[in-house]
Amino acid sequence: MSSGRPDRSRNTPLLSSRFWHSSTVRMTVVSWLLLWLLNTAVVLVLYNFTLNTLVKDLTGTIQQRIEKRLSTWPKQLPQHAGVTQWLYRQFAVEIADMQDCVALVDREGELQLSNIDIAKRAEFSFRDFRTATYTGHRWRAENEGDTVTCLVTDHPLTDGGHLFFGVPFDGYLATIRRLNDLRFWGLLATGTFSLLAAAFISGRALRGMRMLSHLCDRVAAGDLKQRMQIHGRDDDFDHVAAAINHMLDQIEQLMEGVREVSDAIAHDLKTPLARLRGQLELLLNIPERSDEAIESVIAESDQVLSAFNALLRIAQLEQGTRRQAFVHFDFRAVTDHARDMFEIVFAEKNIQFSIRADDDSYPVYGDRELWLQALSNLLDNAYKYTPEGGYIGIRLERGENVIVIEVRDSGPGIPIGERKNVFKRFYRLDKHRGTKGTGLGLSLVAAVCKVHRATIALDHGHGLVVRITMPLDMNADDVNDIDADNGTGDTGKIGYVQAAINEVR
Amino acid sequence: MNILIVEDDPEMRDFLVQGLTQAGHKVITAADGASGLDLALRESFDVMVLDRMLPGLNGIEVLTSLRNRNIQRPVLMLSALGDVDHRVTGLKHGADDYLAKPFSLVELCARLDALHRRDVQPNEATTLQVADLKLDLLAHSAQRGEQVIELWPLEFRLLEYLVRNAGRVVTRNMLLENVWNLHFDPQTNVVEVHMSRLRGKIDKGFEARLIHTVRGSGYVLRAP
Repeated sequence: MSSGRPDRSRNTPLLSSRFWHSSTVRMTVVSWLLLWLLNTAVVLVLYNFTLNTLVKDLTGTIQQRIEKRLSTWPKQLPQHAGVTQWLYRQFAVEIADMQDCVALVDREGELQLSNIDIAKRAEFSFRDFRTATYTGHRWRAENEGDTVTCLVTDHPLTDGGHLFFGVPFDGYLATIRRLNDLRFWGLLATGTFSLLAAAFISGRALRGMRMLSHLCDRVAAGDLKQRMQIHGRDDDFDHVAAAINHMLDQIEQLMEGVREVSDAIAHDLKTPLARLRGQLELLLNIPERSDEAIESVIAESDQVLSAFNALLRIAQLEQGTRRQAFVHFDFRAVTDHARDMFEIVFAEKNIQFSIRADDDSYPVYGDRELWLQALSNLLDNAYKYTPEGGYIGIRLERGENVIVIEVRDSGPGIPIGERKNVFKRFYRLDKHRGTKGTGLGLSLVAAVCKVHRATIALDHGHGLVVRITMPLDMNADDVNDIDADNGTGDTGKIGYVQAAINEVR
Repeated sequence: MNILIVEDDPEMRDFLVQGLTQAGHKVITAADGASGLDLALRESFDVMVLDRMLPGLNGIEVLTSLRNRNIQRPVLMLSALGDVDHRVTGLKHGADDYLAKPFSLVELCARLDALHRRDVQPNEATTLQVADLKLDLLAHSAQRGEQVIELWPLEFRLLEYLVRNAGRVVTRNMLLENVWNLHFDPQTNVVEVHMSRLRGKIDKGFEARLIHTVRGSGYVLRAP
């Protein structure tokens, strides 16, 4: 069986092609990617928001400085030509002591005056802002040669020139650099973390799957004792494992049942067949034909056949295919029919027989013939084990949503320890192995109950009490009509049986 | 009686031919549905034994075609599928009786006899008589010679069935099906007990016995 396919029980390297074919792995990778994208988006939004706020703050400062400076200048700047020249004169005086960054460019693009190197752009640019670096710092001699970064804004002038004005930016730039670093490391960390988490999760899932497939192989090979390990974490793996273990328990139980049945077949069907064979062999040696011997051979084979028929019927019932014959009817129809058959039979053995049904109707939905057979089996059992002069009774009772059918006898009953077993196929109490019967009677009753969603229980009264509880038929409008049709006939039969009983006494 | 047998299994066919010929019937056979149908349309027969599972046309299809061509001769369907559902399907498609394999030859013969009798003597009579036993089907009363016999409804049904099949064997299963309307074996000796009570009423005190037990197969009611 295992030769045609790869052996799944061997450990698979994590990165083999089968690893990527695993739906668990694919799902994990996809969810990891999604998670990572979401993380990235969050980091980027935060980053941009922070930066935006920072720069806005900074431009506000620059704007204030410019306004403050402009306020010290004449209210009316020359409107057209000569603004640049005018500003040049203003700045030329103070530029040596200025803390701000200034660069003045005329209409032709010639740098007129500057304390910054605008040609050399610093690394940072954000929207409309750019940075430039100081070179040849004049206002603070001790820093000569150092470079300081400014953030400058560009103010176009009415005569075509440009005033670049800004403030030192180094402190902020450090913050922005840190932010950049943070963005990089943050993305790397969340990426790595989610990758590790994904690997861990899919690894667990894969391990679970591999354990499951390993288990299936073992079970398929016939080892039904294997079970999934449950870690007690109450997670979905544990749930699946528990479900699988439950299924395996069921299968094991079924297999056990099959084994019991086959043992029983070996005993209960093989024995009569062996007897049959023996009798046929004997017949061969009898010089003249003996009708009696042949009849007994036929009776023996009929016994085997009836066991087979009962087995097939139970099997069919257990498949639940019989519901097509379901009708609405009153259960009294079944008990009356049974009375027709059995009352006289019981009377022959001096067994007192009664049917008690005090309610108006017992509507049920089901297969009348199956119930008749089930009840016949119960009465047949009761008849076999009730001693002469004993008692057999049927009682119908209507509960809230159920109908209870009780069959009582005054036989020896069934010991408590044996009660569960008697519903098993071919099971017979050891002391009754000699009695005629297939050992399938109660199994069939149990199967009929199962088809009708009824329950069956055994109890002890004066003898055995079999109690069947079946659902009451809720759509029972037409039952009474059916009943009325049969009414006359049934009463006739009851009267007849009652009279027959009196006659016997 | 002319019997048409449609059965594909050669051993089963031989068994049927041999058994029914020995019982004094004339037998014609077909081994599949199509030739069976063909034979049924060409030849005359009294009853037909039709296997349910046949190569080509199956038993149900043969039966349906027969009934569609208005051939109403009784048909007994044979099948390895003995369950109630299958029996109901067979009867619904126009079979007159249904017998599950394996069956005893006595059972088959008895059923074929009953089918044939029902076919040639429709149940129109209101009185039945065998020797000095008279049944009034309207009054549900019975008398033997001058003596009126008190019978309860079930006993009357049992006796009526025996009288209608007078001279022929009726099996335990036939009684269960036709008198009690049961299609399973109730194990307990229901039939035997009722028969012995009926016997007590019909034969007790009379010189000639009418009801006889046929060992291993059933009962027969016949004139002495």
